[in-house]
Amino acid sequence: MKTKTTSGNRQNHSSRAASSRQRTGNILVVTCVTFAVISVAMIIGYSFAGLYFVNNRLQTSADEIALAGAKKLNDRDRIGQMNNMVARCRQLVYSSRQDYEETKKVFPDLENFAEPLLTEARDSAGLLEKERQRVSSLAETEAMTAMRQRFDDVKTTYAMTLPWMKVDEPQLRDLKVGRVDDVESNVEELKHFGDLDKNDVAQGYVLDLQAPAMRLYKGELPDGMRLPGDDNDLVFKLSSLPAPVDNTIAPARVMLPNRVEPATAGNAPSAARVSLRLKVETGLGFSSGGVLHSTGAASTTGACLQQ
Amino acid sequence: MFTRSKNGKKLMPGMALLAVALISILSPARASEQRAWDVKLQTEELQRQFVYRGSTINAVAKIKTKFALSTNPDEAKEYEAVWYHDGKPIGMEKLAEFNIGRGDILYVKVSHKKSPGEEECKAAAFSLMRMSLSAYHKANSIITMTIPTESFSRISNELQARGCKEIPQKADQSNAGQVRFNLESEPEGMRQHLFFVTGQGS
Repeated sequence: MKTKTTSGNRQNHSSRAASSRQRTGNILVVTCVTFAVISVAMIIGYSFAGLYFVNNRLQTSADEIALAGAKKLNDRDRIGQMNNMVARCRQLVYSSRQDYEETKKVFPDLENFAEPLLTEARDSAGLLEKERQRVSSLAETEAMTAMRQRFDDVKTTYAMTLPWMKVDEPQLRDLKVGRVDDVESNVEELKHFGDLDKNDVAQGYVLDLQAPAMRLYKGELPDGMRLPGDDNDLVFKLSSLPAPVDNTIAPARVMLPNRVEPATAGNAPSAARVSLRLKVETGLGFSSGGVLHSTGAASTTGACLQQ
Repeated sequence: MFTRSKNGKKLMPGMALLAVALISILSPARASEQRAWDVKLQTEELQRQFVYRGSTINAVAKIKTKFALSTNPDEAKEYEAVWYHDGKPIGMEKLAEFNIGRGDILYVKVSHKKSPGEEECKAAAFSLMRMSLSAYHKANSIITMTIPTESFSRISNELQARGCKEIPQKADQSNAGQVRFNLESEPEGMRQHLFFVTGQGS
């Protein structure tokens, strides 16, 4: 009996062992295949994550470079101050002309007293126009220099070679300065000259917003603002720049690139835009690559209140 | 009071008298009443103006003009602000209408926010000339122009550089120019009378 049982047991044991070996072999294969699949998936995942990271980083760099340039544009409120003074110079010339004409008519003996006052006002208009052009040119030059410098600082931090990815140094595709669309000048309408106020509205120099407290002079008029009468030869140009709101100055900030328009010739720019491209390769063995593009834009600091 | 004519209503003499009385009360009969005004020119040198490479206008002075009835000095009203560079105006902002009436008398006072620099003194001199012209148009007499002692001689020199001359003590006053500057220093000490030669040039 014992023998029968032993052989029976022995048979059962060997078949179970065989089946067990077969299962072990299957598990090993399955495990290896699974491992391989997971590895490939991880590599692909890393590649995509790396691409995503690099793309984000490129966008951040573009914004950073644009912001560096934008901050330089209205450095120390030079454009804001110039806008304010140009508008006030226009009032000065108008007032001086009124005084002079009245003096000539009613008190002709005083003409040589009134004339220098008018002449000096007109000379100041010429001086301010020269300085305004200097500021416009300087702002653009300094902004472009700042953007190039920032780009040079940033590009050296990019190049890297990883098993699943290779990143080159970025290249500068485009660099420009301009203005923000729909932003007028920072100068609030100056009043108390009845005829001049009416003239400004009639000529379309003032942006007529619904809230009377926010009547700003238009920025970047192609021909600038003129004065009626004998002082029509003088040009008073105001650049586009965010005005302070409730005594709060607008900070330099990143913005959508499609809001940057070219500045009217001869006006100071108030926004910067930069485009970058970056070559990236991914994969092991087989290589696949592409070029990433990013565009960043920023608006300069808004104007301060006139002192 | 009323009578009716066959042709319609007429104002009775009583009504006419009432109308005349009303008109005389409401009209500027005050024109015959001369008012005295304190006109204050406060000067200030502005900091951090036009700070950029190659700037030629970074020294800017500002003069704010306020006026008030001499009887009510606490109710001063801001009239205008003018910005100057090198003694020449570069900008102006009118803040209110000049309510000083025709024939009123003015006491002009120059004050400085801090110790005045060259820019402020030049600006003050120009401002006094502008004030004189405005006053002349409205037949206002400027009785005195009070200037702080610390800047008195500089402002006077600047007025003279602009064509004003000192009235000699024994000069025949009838030949003096039409625009006069009666300068007085504060605290009281120095006095000077300048005039601007009109008509045939300075």
